[in-house]
Amino acid sequence: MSEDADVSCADTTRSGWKRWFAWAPPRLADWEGLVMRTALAGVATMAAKMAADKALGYSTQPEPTGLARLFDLTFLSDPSINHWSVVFFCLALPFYIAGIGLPVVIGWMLWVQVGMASFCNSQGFIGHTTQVVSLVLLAQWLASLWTLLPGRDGWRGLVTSSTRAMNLSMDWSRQTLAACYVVSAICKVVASGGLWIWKAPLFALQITKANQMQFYSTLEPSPGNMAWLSQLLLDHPALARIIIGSALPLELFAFLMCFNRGVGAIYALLLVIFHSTVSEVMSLGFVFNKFLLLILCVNVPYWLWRWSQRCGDDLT
Amino acid sequence: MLDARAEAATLGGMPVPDLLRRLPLKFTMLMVVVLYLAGEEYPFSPFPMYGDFAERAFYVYVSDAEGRPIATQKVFGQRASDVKKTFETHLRREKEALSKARGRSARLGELPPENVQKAAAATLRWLKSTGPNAPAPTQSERHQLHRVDLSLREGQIVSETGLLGEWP
Repeated sequence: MSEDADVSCADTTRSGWKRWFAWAPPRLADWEGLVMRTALAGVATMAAKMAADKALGYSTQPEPTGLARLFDLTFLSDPSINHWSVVFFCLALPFYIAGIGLPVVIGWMLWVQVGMASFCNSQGFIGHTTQVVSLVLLAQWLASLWTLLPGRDGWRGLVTSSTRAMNLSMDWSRQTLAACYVVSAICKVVASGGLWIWKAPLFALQITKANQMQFYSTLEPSPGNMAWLSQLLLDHPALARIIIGSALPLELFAFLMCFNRGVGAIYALLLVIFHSTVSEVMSLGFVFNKFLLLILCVNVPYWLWRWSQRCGDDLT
Repeated sequence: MLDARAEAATLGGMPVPDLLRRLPLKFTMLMVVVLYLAGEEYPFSPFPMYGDFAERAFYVYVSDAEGRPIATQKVFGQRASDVKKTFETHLRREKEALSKARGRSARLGELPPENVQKAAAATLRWLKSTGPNAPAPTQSERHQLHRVDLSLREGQIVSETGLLGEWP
């Protein structure tokens, strides 16, 4: 497989609307890679700690999924193993941020994250909170192995990460994030027989269900009662198809995030707004999706840097 | 012969390998295929949440022996949504057992009440014996699992509650 980031046409010379859809994946500077890896290290630690804490509560894997099908992961609930796994995960972070020994370092982080979360997901119910983090780590690990191939960084990739390797890693991470949305949209189309948007008013039932389930989790009234929204969707089906239905194309075309910096940032912000709305209405978190969109696609430090450059130019 | 091979390996005047190399978003396409085909095998998932909308929905909640609701997250460390997913898993197990016993595929809707009660009891047993707060402080107390069905009637959402089972 060739490196998409390397075959970019980088066609930023086009004018008008064509420029917005130019295939020009971001070529990140080293400092951007450093900032991104620092932020990603924080997100990965949050996800691994969350899974590790949860794993302590279980001792069996009655419904194995993923890695748990291949290995008995119950040893991860041993307090000592659990603790030291997280400690070594944290010790690996400075190497990850510095780009040193990435095939081994990310391999270890991936094992801890996927192992703990697979074990937690093998209890008879599936959660999707940390999956996106694991998939991004998987993409980065594959990218780090890819760069070991002859004709690329070769054995040097075992020690340090070149700018080219860092760009490939972040490019595959972005593409993986986009793929999560695209496949979800495809599932919606297939499962609903192509009628997902038409059936959107029935989302009202899901809102009511989610709100009432949330109530029975805590027995505290939800801060924002969404009964009015459920009724609005039922009373105005056309409006429901526009409001709820817009989620489908938004997910289906999520690959546009990878096209170039401008479109990527705007599209990712739209997805963050979408997640925030769903969080408010359905009491669902999506915290890791939001973090990854902000880090990998919105990339605020780059826009601040660019803005500061412009200010500097104006002053001179 | 060589010319014919060379001809076959071009598309729009560009050699296929070059075309593949220049094709954008190959990793996205690969991941979409892998995620879709792998199904729910962590870390892979096709993320099928809210894939289809029906005119009915249900959820479950836990109560004490007198039917007073219990905050599952506070008491057992599990969200009500996870309790529901676990109940569905136990229901599927009962369905598989019934299908095996009958020698033909049974549907969830035709499960006899005793199988539903078994699934509810297994869910409550799981809730009290595993999870972040296990063993639950109310381990020996009797608990009940209730089902709330939501449906549409004349443009309004109506709910019906029923007892699924209890344990111990």
